[in-house]
Amino acid sequence: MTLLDEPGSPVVRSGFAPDRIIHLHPSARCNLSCSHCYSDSGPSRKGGLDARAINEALTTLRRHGYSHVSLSGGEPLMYPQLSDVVDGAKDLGYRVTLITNGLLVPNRNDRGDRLDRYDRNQRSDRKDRIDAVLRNLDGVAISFDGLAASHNAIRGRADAFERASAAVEQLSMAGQRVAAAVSVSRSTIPELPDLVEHLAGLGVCAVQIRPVAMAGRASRPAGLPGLPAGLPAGLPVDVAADRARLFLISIALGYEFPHIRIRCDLAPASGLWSDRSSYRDLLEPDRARDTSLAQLVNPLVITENGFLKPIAYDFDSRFDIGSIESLNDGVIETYKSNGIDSFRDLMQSAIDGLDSLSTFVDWFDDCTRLSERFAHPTRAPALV
Amino acid sequence: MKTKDLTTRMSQRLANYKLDDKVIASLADRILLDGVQIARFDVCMYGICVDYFTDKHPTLEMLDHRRGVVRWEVFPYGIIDWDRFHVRVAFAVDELEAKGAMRDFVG
Repeated sequence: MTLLDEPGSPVVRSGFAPDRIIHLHPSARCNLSCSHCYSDSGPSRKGGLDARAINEALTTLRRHGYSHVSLSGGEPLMYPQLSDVVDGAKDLGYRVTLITNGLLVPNRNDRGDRLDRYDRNQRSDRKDRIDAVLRNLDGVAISFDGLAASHNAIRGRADAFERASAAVEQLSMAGQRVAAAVSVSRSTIPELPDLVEHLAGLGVCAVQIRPVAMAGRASRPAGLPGLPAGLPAGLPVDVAADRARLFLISIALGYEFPHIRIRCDLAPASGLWSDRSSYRDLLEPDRARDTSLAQLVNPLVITENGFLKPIAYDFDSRFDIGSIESLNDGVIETYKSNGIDSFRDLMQSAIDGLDSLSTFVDWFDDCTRLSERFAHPTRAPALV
Repeated sequence: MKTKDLTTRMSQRLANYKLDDKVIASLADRILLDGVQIARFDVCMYGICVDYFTDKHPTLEMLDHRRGVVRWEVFPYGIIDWDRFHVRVAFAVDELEAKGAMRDFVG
């Protein structure tokens, strides 16, 4: 089940995730340059994947059990071939969702009166194109980082919060299932209750709360500038008490807003340890050969360079599965027979580690940090 | 004070960093019980009351005194769902200002 599914849907899990999901980053081009961006996306990033190559890869991956494509970026609404990718994925039977900063979600009240006719026509074409894509999606999530001051500071744009909020309202009023994906640092935890109340008023059906991943720009000293004074700015939610606080806030918010699905990416280590059999297909080599790739590697990430990675965008490159250029059934079978061993060892280690933890786990991010330690054992310890 | 006021303040009280990190960490340790799912979480006259759902028979070992449990009740679903139990537990949390609020355990 994903954030945008109806509650009560039947769930057959793959690992700790209920859906077999591909996180697709067709391009790193973005109209913002957020200080916490894990993929270093921004206006200066050029290029991107060819839609035909993406659709061929999605065709192969559909045969290997994946059922959901989540489009991210960069800003996916800036990707010129987005409609080709969405249409292709839908034709293959994927459920397709998208996460956006909301800036390009068409504002139907803005007729572009200040523009000349050429620019107005150009804008109108783009609005129609984006509108058509949005209508074809199974769900849209708008990203938020806090209340207006924090959000705008992190995004480096004075109207970012206002535009993102307008996008939620616009989509919700149009009958689209719209969620909010909220990235939280230690500094913005106090803003969560008011932010969720604001989002509830705009009509979100779900809120996903996740600690900022300490990757890309967020991992550099200049990351997360300009946050409100009074609390340590830009600190990750990586200490036990902060994780506990965030988890408890999420539960409290779930009760305060019963009509919204509140989901937190953190989970008690003891709960995951009890559920470790979810990874049996991966951890037992004899079973792995007879099961689908989606049952073994979930989520799967396709980067803007065409690399296939397990779990997360910043998972260490030594665990890469291959590239979409050369992806076929043979490559996947070979990976399942041999290439998956190092990933299996890593995940076994991550699961074994749960037994000794009494705190909350940001499972996919903690596995990603562990991948760095596995690949570079002499470096300073990661956050896990 | 209305229930909505109390619950709104619950998330804000947890979020505003006035509750010490140690209190938060200890609270999380106390209310997380293996094999049961938290359905509701609210302030009450004892501190915090938590509603759990479980498909296992609730046992006293789950709720030993070290967790600061002051009261608990079990509601079997019975014929509606034989293997499902609703367990309501009150935990003493001295640091929560709503501890003295006039709101009974059954709320």
